[in-house]
Amino acid sequence: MSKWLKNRDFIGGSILLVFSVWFYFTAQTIPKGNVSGMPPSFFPSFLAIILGILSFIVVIKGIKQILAGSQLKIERKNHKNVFLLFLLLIAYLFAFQHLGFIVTTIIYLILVMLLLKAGKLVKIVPISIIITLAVYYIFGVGFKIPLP
Amino acid sequence: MLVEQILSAVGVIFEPYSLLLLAAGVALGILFGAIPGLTATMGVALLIPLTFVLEPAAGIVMLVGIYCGGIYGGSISAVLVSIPGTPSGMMTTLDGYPMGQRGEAGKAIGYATISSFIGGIISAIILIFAAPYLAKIALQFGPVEYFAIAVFGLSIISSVSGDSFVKGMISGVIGMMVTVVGMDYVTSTPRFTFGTVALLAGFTFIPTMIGLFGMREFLLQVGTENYKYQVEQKVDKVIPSLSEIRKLMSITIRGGLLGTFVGALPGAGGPIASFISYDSARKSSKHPEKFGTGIPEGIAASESANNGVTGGALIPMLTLGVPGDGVTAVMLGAFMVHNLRPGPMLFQNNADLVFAIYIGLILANVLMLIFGLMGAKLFARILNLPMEILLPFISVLTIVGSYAIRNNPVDIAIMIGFGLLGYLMSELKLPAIPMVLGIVLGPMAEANLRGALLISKGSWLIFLTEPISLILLILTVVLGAWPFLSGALRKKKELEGSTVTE
Repeated sequence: MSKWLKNRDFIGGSILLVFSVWFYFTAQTIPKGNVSGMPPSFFPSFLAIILGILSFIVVIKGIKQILAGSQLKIERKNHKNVFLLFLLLIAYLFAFQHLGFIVTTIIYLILVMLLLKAGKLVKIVPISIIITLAVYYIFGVGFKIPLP
Repeated sequence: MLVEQILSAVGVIFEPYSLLLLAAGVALGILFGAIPGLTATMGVALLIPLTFVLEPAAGIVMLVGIYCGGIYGGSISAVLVSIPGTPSGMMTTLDGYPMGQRGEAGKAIGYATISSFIGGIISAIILIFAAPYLAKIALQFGPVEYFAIAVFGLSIISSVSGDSFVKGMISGVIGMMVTVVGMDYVTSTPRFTFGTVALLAGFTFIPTMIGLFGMREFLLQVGTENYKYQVEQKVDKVIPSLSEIRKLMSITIRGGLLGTFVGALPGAGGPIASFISYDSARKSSKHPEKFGTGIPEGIAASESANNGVTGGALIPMLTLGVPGDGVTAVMLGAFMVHNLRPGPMLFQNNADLVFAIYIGLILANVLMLIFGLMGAKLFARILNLPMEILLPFISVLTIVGSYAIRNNPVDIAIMIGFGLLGYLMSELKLPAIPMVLGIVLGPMAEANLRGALLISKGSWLIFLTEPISLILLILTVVLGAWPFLSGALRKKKELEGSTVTE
């Protein structure tokens, strides 16, 4: 069974297949409106059908790989770091509306650089402050983008 | 009339402020191109928000500068660290890196600079002559033709990006699905918004692009941790002698022409152009076995073609609104910001802007030549900047850039969301570029499909009975199947070995 769960074409294709079915049926609930031509639901349904066919092909490919005992080659990645980064970005999104751009960005940069092992705090903190102020002055003041 | 428009374009471009912006664009482009992990496309995506506050012509010309510089810049890291700084530089690593290893890094960069310049100029000339002509033809296109072009573009890009046609198409269709979200443009019915007011206007284009090219790349770099490299070669004697240049002339000119042609096909861009040019130069060479050992011919073939793409890719983008490659797809965002619609009408209503782009493209190539020959040493040193600091900096730019358009935090959320989506898709080997083309072509495909079926009263046969659309669909099948039939993709993969893909 783990052989099936580990095959990315099989799993990914199945997810996409389910998604296209969901997309198709959701498209059917879009009100038709009073138009003489194709209703608003027409193009989404069309896309859902094509995606369904394409993902079915990928599922079949996955099954073939499993039966042949081969695997899709994927670079190994450090998913833990990426997940932590994602959480940091979400935190940034909320913090930045309350704490303002400068404070949030400095804290964010310090945390990201710690995560990427950029060096000691003595080095990271000043760099983060310089980057933040540079971006603030170039974009906020120079190009007049109202940063909170 | 015509003279007036040309003069007005010259006036805009040669204003000191615009010239400065163009020069900054080229220099920034070379930086983005040279630093592995930052691509030309990312440079354009990150700087589009700035064009918002600029004059349309000055802003778009700056993006053209980033484009040219970015495609060329990839050769610097290709030579020095054997990583193409931008995907188009892939083929340059084959001969550039061995040459650098022999202590001739400066010379290798010199060849790359000159052939990039010649390729770029050739493509600019072809653009200037071909675009108005194509725009005139495009005036007669109706919904049937436009839908066929959208299908054509999407299948070309699917067959050349990533390792499977099916996965490329999946990515493209998902891109089109993204554009369905929001209000239907005919009936104003909300679609796939699930009651969220913020989604009524759909996913905003520029944050989506910054997500797919900036944030996704940032997450990928952090995930793969392959940003540790060191430049050890010395870069000197950059300028090659005239006789050396003359020897490479025929390969360079052919590369420029091939690049322009490939670039002009909707969807096909730099990586495939430089591959075709490299492959044809090797086949026609008297000593094909020397390719890959570090010979100037290899560098010239690859670099002239990928810069040849620049002018070529602008042809369908300006005349039809269909981008020729990933960078021009993102560049469309700058037109949208200023409410300009690329297409045949652009040549009638905004002719001065079109001329400004022509002049800007030529100037960008000249600046690229100067910066490349004079500044190669400096750009080489920049490769040693620590990525652990550069990457977080880039991530701040993605946030500021997506916020800048509407000053709306929702756009930051969209940007992060698409970055994550791109990252997850790469886990299934679904390429990002077809998705971008899908997002660009989605609204066009939908409007024209509905229009065409309205004309034909629901019959799909209309796509086969209209001659232009029939030819395009036949070409779609032929070109879509060609890489598989000829085994070109397999060969490309062998050549690339284990290098990174986009």
